[in-house]
Amino acid sequence: MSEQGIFSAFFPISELELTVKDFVCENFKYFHQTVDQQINRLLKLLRDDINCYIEYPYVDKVYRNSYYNFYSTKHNLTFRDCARISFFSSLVMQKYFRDEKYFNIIEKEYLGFITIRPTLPNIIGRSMLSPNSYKENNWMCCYTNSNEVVNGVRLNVQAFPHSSQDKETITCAETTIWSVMEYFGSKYPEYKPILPSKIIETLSHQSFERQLPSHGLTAEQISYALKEFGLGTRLYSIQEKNNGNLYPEEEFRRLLGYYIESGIPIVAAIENKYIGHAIVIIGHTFVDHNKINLSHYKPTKIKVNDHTLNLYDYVDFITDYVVIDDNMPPYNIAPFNNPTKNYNSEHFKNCVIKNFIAPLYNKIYLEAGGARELIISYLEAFDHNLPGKDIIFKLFYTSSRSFKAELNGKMNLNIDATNVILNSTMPKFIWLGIFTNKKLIKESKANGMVIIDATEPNNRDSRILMVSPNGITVNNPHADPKNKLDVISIRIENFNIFANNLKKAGKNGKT
Amino acid sequence: MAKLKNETIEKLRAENKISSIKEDDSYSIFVSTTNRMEKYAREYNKKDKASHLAASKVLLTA
Repeated sequence: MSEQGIFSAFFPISELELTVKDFVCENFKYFHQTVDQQINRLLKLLRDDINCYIEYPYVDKVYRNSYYNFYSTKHNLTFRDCARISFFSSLVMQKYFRDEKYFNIIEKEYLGFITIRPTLPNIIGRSMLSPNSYKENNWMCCYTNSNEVVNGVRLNVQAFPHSSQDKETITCAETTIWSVMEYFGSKYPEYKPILPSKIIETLSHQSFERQLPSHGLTAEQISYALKEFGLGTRLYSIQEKNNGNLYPEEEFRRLLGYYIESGIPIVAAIENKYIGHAIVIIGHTFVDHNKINLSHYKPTKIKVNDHTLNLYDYVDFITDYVVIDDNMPPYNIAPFNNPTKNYNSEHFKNCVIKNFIAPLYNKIYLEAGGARELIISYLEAFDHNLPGKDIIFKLFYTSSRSFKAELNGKMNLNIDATNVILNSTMPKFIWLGIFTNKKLIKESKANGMVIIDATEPNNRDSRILMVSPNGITVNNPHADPKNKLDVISIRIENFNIFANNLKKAGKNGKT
Repeated sequence: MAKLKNETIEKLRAENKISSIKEDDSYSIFVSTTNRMEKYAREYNKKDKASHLAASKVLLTA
């Protein structure tokens, strides 16, 4: 234990820049100018009314792991401790942290933290920042809970894990793996958060040279590591001029969108002629349903009996994605075709997403493209009576638990239809195709949906439920041929669109 | 002793609200869906293989 103990201070966000500069100068012996860019970028995004609490020394699990596995093996002295800066939406004082009656207030006001580590030039380490700490947060994305003990009080924040790369033990590629596993590991019991040394150990079987200092990973290696950590990864690459076997841009973009709509963080590999970089896409900005102009989008034409339906993919309406980029502050907003829009460096100009990795639950055997195709084939085949010729289509996967809970409480479907669906056996995960139109979507309502077993890649054995104005059609693959397709004639009124995968920023500092 | 039942289905059956699509129609839906999915699977396998090759080319370091 250090003789000097823990140093701490409360201060308003207006003093953040100076405080950090003084801190790195005094404790890490850095020129204070070296921190300008990183802190200023973050400061521009954060609310002006935030209050901060800094404490040093702070043991950050990720940096300490890098320290013992790499930095401590160098001749030059590297400091092993970090500082942690916690953020609060109102003024907090020392006395609040010593009086139990204030604990709830502190918890309500807590907006997460950043760590400052001795790794120039990227000094911002592991961070969990609530979207409520931002001036603007008009997005929907996936978050996980993080429990921290700040000044002796246990606090919880909903955020997405972020860290800048230290360029020696973790580059962008390792950071994305860490960030995705930190998310899954803290959210679901099936997975465990991992540390940089575990990534190196896991990839050592595939490596033919030393791994430290890191010189990056390929998208395929990222996919391999995530698979080894228990995820059922799928890899997609966009079509290039000299390779027509890959996914055409439109299909590639839509597939990415379906997974994002499913609340899955996606690792994307971006490139230009100078660099290759890895980012995590975790959500998208709000789609203004009142401003959707269908004539701007290209529909998929579907033949139903003697007429043609125009199927518009909802994901085509998404303009910007929410990105966890280790060169940028958390929740970087960028469009699909310009993921490095917010970079100043010429080296990052004109980057495009070349590949993406979808880290799925390992028993989701039907991937997004297959689910889409199956839904379209049933849309063509069933007598569904969806009104109009323009249909807006939203596709995502979700757990059947979430779906049933949402269906029962919030979707406002006819009671008989609700009961039929609730009493249907379902696998752990289902694909959900929701049908709506230009008018209904303004009220967040739909008039049809298809539910597909996500664990069944073979359509011959896929149990399918289709809800449409005509009622519910059930495909029972194991029933007698005479009863394979049952139609339950229930009048289906418009119902609320399922919206539980991606979360908005909430009031009172909580998502 | 409590008897297990699916009350909703029994009620809908009693109200004659459950019917089955004719076997021939059902079979033609099965065939068209299967054909479509087989075509999709062939394309998907090609793209899948090519995706892995493409994803192993560039080191992500920036």
